[in-house]
Amino acid sequence: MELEKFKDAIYTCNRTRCGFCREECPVFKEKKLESYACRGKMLIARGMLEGIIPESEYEEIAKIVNTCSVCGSCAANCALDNDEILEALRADLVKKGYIDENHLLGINSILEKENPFQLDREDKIDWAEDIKFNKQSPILFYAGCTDSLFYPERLANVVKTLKKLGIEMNYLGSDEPCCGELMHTTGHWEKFQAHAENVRRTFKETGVKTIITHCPGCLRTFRDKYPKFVEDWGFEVLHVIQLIAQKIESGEIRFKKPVNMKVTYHDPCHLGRLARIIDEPRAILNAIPGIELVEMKHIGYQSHCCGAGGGLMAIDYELVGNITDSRLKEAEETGADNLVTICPSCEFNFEKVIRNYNITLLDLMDIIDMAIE
Amino acid sequence: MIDNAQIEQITRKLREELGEDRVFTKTFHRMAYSRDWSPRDAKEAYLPDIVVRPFSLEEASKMVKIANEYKIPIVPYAGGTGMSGASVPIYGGISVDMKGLDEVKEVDIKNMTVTCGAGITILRLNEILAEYGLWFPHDPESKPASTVGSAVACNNDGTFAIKYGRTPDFLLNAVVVTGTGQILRIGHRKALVSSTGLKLLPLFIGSEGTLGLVCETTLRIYPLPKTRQVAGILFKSINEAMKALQRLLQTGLSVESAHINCGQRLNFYTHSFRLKYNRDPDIPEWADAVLFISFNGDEDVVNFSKNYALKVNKELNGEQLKEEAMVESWWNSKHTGSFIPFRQKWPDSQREKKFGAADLGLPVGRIEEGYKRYLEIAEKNGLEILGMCVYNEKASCISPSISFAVWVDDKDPESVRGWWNYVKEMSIMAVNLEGTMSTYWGDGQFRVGYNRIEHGDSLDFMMYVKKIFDPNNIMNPGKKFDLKELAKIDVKIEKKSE
Repeated sequence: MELEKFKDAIYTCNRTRCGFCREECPVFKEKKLESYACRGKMLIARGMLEGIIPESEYEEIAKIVNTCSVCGSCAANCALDNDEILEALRADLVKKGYIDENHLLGINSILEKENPFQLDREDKIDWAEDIKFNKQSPILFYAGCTDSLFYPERLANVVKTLKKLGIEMNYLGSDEPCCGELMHTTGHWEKFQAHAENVRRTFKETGVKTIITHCPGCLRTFRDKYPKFVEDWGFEVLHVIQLIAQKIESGEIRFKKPVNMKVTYHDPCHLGRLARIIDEPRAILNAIPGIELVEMKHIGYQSHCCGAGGGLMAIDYELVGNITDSRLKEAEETGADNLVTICPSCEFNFEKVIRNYNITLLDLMDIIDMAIE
Repeated sequence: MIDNAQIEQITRKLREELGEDRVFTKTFHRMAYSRDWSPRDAKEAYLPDIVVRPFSLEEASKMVKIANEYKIPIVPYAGGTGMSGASVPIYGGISVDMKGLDEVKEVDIKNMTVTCGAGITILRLNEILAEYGLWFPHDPESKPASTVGSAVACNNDGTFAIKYGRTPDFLLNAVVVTGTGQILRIGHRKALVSSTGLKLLPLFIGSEGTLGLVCETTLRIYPLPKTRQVAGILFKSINEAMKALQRLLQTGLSVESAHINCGQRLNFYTHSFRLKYNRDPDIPEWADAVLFISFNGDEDVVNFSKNYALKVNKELNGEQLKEEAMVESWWNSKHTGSFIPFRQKWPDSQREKKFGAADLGLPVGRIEEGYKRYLEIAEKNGLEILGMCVYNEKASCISPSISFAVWVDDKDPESVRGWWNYVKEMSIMAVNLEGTMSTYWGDGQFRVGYNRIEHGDSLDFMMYVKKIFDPNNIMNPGKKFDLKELAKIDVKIEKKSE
């Protein structure tokens, strides 16, 4: 069992019971039942390890464990790596055959079409039609499935903006594989490992050294998960925002064109709390003349999730809606005209309901694009 | 004993009355309610038979009425951070998750009160009050999880008690569901004092769920202070630190918090400092106690207070703690909770052994004696000493609520047995030193039986009171009172015609 590896941490939680993980958990806030909070799940994990809980209940446990956006809030308020423990719990349940069918649809789609949305693989490259890439560049632009399929114009702008900033990149086109994040986060680790091996081979063949992406989910998967699943991974993985922030700090980029906007910034869980890229987006916004940044109540490590992650959308759509509403309400309360984020999953989730709020949605790259002459 | 067929019947009835989504019986749900913070064997788990999560006072009342029909135990569960096993269903029954009752019903700015469901956490209540520039200054370390209801039911400690007091000073009114399911309003509405009738509110404060469910509370609130200053002052001994605090209060300064840590407990902070900065903190060798204090209010007043306090302490041989990081570390652990990401103090310090503390109340003149006995009793029971901290829990006076802490190895049954024997011997020692057994965690599961040493015959009167509110002994059985003794108590009440 994968859980065995986390036995000490599970018993540490068992003996501590501080419950600091509970109050900010977006799912617990809605469900108000201990079994949905990380602390409760740690006792459930203990019950499974000790055989207190019969296997006849595993199917229902799988539902509870999958009712989680893996936002990492429980880990940010704890010394334990709770997000990893919860993913291991998912992996054990999958290994025993307790598999969510909606998750499986996405995973099979990755295997067949290199995207979890059951869309044609060829559609993933439409955005790049007019863009020239440098096949010799040691930097690979990794477009990711959500951006490629749902935000093609944005993606083209991201690359054009990076080009304007002097960053030349390679792109795999129709050879670009899915990162497989859904496989990992939903506990399908055997499939993830095999997939990750293939991805590593594809990347190695291109000779690239650095992978740059706009999608925080892909970033986290390549940067933090792959090294644990494939040997000799060896790629530097960066988010576009890190590159731009570096160039601002070194003085290579100075925004002169004013963008007069009052904005608030939503930290995507995968970029902020989990990848710890919190200061960079703010440094960029503060470097653009005319931008007034007003923060929400919950930011950075204590930012609130939009509800989109961890495969939760496939499990409980209504719950995701409540979580999303709560975050948009907080954004609206700042009085900002624009909600800025930099994650296609957050955007996909927000844009379904943002018309109900007095705020519009923008990607940080859109603003950077406006600020560049 | 309730058999499985009855559990099924009760479950059916509860579901009919409250709805399917209020009642849970799967093992994994029940497992999640099987323990609290109290040191116990790592493998110990007391599963309730049923978990119920009411969302209204009426639902809570219906549930208790059904429980009465079948005489099934009801065990309230709130933050789950209790240190005495109060929320652990040692006789099974129904675990009632109070989180569903967490609505803020009224913030009354004019009268400076808030009325809220008892299931709201203290942290969340303060987030909401902060939007109005207001504050509920009851501040236990457990506030991200512990609720207003548990502050009432367990009468726990608070960092700011030396200025604002604690639950008895805040609680003005409550709506409770008694052990028969009757919804009862107790207290004096929004008035701060009252001389009429007998006072039922104090009976519920610290009752640990043995009388009924605290479902709604009206609390006294305050304007948020504008600024705050924190300081640490080193002394040669606890007695010197106590004298300095006594002098500080005599000066007329309004001290917001005052904690005195002994030399060993100071090591807790020096250890974290070494880990973080890779060097020894700058602390003189003679230092064997530290007084941490804070002041709040307007900037000029706070600055003056801190400077005056430092001057007074210097006259009494106290030296200001130079390492600001250590002061910050104390303040983070006691109040802000803003830890360096991913190293929240509690689980990080509990990886090998569990923190356990006897929570005695001693008269100020007998603390030194109590400290010596603590060292002996801990050693006798084979427990590693973590140190002593003197909190002050009554407004404007030295009011020691003392944490005598040790490490318990919950993987070793011998260590766990030693711990509970330690608590018993320490509790008896406190009574012998003219103090009290408990100042913040109550009787719970573990002081049952020997708490008669403190209360004598008055424990019988407590049981009469318990019987009036809970004639069938279904409210949290096995806590505070011995079940066999309770069975002998006979109180006849004429039932009010409905």
